[in-house]
Amino acid sequence: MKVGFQHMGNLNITLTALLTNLGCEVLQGPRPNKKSLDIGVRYAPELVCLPFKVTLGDMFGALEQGADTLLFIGGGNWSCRYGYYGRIQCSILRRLGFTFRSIFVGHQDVKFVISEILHLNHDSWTTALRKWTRGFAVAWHKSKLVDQVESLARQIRPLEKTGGECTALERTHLRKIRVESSILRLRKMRKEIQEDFDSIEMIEAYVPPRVMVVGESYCVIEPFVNFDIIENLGNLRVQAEPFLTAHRWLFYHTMRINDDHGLPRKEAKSLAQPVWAYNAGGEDQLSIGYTIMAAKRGFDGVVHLMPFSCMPETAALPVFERISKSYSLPLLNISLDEHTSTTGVRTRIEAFVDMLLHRRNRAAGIRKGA
Amino acid sequence: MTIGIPQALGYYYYQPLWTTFFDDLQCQVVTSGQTDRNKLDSGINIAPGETCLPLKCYLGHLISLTDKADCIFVPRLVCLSRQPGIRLGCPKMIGLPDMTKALVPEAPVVTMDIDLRQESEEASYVNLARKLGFSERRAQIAYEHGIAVSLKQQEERIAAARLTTTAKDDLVIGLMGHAYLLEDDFLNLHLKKKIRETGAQIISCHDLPDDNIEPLTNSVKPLSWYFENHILNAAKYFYDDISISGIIYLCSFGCGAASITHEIIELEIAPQHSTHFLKIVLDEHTGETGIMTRIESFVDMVNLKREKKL
Repeated sequence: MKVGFQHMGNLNITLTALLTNLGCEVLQGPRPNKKSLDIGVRYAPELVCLPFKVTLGDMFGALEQGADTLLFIGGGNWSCRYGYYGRIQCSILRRLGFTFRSIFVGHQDVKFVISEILHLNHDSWTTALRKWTRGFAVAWHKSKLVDQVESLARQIRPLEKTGGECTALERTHLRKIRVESSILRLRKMRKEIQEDFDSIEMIEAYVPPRVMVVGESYCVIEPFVNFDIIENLGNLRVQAEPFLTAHRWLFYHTMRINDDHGLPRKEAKSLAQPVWAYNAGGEDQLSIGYTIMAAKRGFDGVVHLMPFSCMPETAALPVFERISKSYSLPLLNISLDEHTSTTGVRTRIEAFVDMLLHRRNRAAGIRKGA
Repeated sequence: MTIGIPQALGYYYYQPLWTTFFDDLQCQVVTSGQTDRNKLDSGINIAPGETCLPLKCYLGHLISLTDKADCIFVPRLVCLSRQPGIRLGCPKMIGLPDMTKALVPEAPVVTMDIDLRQESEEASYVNLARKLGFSERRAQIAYEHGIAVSLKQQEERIAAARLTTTAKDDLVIGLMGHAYLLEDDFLNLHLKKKIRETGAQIISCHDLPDDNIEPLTNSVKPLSWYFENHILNAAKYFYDDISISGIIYLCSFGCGAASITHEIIELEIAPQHSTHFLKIVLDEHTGETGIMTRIESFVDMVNLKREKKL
């Protein structure tokens, strides 16, 4: 079975590990780029949200590589469009003449997924279980390591003395994690990564402003659609903390495993409850919760990312603005679509960061030019 | 006590129930009346730019009621049906009370959750009445009366629609879309009148008897939006009915659900049929002439095809 699936940040490292261990061959298209987006835009419905168009391009790429099975992850019984991506993308791709099988992976499709795994392993429960356990362990370790690398890079980037060092280190380590297949060596890498990042020379006596990145999950996680916002904020010497990472997203939405150290999901949910009572989709309730949490934990600002015309996030936007006002927390809302330009987003981010620094200086009693 | 009900969004689906319910509780019901330029403009001024037209309109209606009523009824439509499968309102319906509280904090909003996953619709209404200080018994009677009235009204509508459509051998056009667009003549720029002026008969998706509609089943991923399912089923009915020669689908720009529904119609229902289909997307900048031109050319095209067949 040659499997293809969508890109989403560094999701492919984890999923590739799991699927190859289960006995599939992974054939993915290239990472989202201008060309794949163009393909997505051409065949997707006009008014659908950006993640649909980008993932459609990914699926197209995977099929062109020769994949015969497409994996659609997530999509529960919410009121968000995300749940129907699979159904409609399948129809669009089949109409274009591709033939493939489709598998929907979500916490409600567990039975079907299990039967597929069994089928892959010649209906032997023991082999399937053994392979699944190993695959899961490797995937879990890799996912955790990727999370660690991303998190360290985020924290140290605003403080590094020579620009680009963190990013380079992040890339090398991600490459290493991707090719490594032994659990033992993966476990050893943890310390190695920590040491490598610790050895980066940092500027002293600087506390970077902290910014929480909230919004629609795909836009927060996928660097192609958000124009590498986390790295860019880091380069502007701001520490960005996304409310969701690929690791947390994947394990929560497929297996309901909650791995959110430092940013507890339950607390966010209960914080959001009074102002946004239901989770309509696209993690709107969590985003609101984390925005309030950011205010309470003394973050300097919040960046809210959403695809243009995103149903839950546009509905929740007034609530974000109200929170921003009542906690006097700066909020930058960026609505993304295929026409959003890099320069436009960068200008807005730079202006936002300038404002944050200005606010901080003013609070500390330092006047510009004094 | 005066209760204000904005005449937009859910009003067009639940109007008989809501007005009867509050009337029976001896509340004075104040509706905001028909949409007009002022209401729409005041809604557009405060709503986020990317939201859909009906929502902006709703906010305008709500603002116009703020000093006219003791409380304004803004229900939250979460889960509206459990059989077959869970059917939800769209995110904007789910977040409506929260959104209005954030945008119009001075409005005296009274809210109620219709979430059939948690409790029955009747229980929701009774709880609301209790919150407003009425007895449970009275609320139950009022609710039952409300349901009876709304059922009767629906039957009358269906009967009336059947009379007009079966009377002549005219061109019949199936009209689909959310009730809050199809019934609000200001928002849809008098679409129905314009279609009738071209000599065509209209059958609206809201005048179809429920038992006539055979639900569209898709084992892969059934659509879980309540109102969208209604449209989808109506589309199937319109396509299957040979007496209907054209279908017009009215939706608003920024309606996320419409982009999915339209694609499902186009990919899964339309290929097996030859009925003409026109999708009209409305926003606050849509001009009347543009709509007129599109309808005229659509009707002309459908007529041409009918003549060829005869």
